[in-house]
Amino acid sequence: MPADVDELVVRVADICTYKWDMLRNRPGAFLLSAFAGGAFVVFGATLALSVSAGVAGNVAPGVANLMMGLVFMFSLVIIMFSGMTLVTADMAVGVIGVFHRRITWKWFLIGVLVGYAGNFAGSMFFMWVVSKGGSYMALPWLQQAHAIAVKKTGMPAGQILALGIICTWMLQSAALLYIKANEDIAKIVMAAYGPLAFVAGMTEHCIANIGFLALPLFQQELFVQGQAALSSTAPVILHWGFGQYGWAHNQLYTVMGNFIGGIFFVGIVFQLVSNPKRVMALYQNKKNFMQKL
Amino acid sequence: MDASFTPFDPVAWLIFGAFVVFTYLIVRIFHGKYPDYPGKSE
Repeated sequence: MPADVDELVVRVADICTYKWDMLRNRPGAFLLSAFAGGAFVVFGATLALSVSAGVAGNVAPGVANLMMGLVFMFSLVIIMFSGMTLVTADMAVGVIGVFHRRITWKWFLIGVLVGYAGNFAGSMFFMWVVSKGGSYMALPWLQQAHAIAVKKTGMPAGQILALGIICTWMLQSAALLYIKANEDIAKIVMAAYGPLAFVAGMTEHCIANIGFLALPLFQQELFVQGQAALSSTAPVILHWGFGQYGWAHNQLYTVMGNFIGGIFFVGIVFQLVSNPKRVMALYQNKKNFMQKL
Repeated sequence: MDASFTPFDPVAWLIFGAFVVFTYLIVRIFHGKYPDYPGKSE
């Protein structure tokens, strides 16, 4: 039987204690786990790019989204099963930890900042390595990577914010249901659902987007050269800064949206749905206050 | 919401600010209502 919501929030609080204990006592290990988590997310982004090149133009845009989601979905499975750190998951886990007085707001913020820094480094480094891989220098993949980035960075602030909220609303619901499940198969299905939903649903995830946007920026020169041979129309030029078609423009509003979706619509909702008196009764017989993912 | 590409989009920041305030208040009110929550600690 999966845990009920009262048991679930206690499990999440135990995971919060484990993660923040690692941050306090072994910050290097926490940072390394965030580096690995960031890379794991963009394993999925790389596969999504690999399978979707040319599909939107030749089959149907919706099919490309589905294919991207299907290969992306194991990213969260490998993160959760390996116990690595993903900052968006820590947002939902951390706020429940604050309700359960496991961490303070100060430590919550430190955890999110260090988690983001590690995820950023892992995601960026992995995509830099991918940018050096010959397969991804062929024009169909350069065009697809560029098209994804133009779509993501070309949206105004409000649209990115809305898609960021939807992303972690879906993803963190799945992450908490992973914790709720007891059997491995159920856990795999729950963890797979989150990335499938947020990628096929065309939403915005800050760590996935670090990679999705960094790759076409690393390869922009190759893309422009290849495109010039095909068409006289000048392509959209991406950049790292704020403003339309900028990496930072997308990242800022995606991070803000991800905070709102994961904390307000998942962490707080699950916590307030749980019965405080039943949760307090569960604590009466509790001996172990830490749980690994 | 207008098409805005500035890092200081007022509506987006207003929504985010409201989220921060509401989140803080919800936790505070919850702890006020259940001062001993969750009970036994580590």
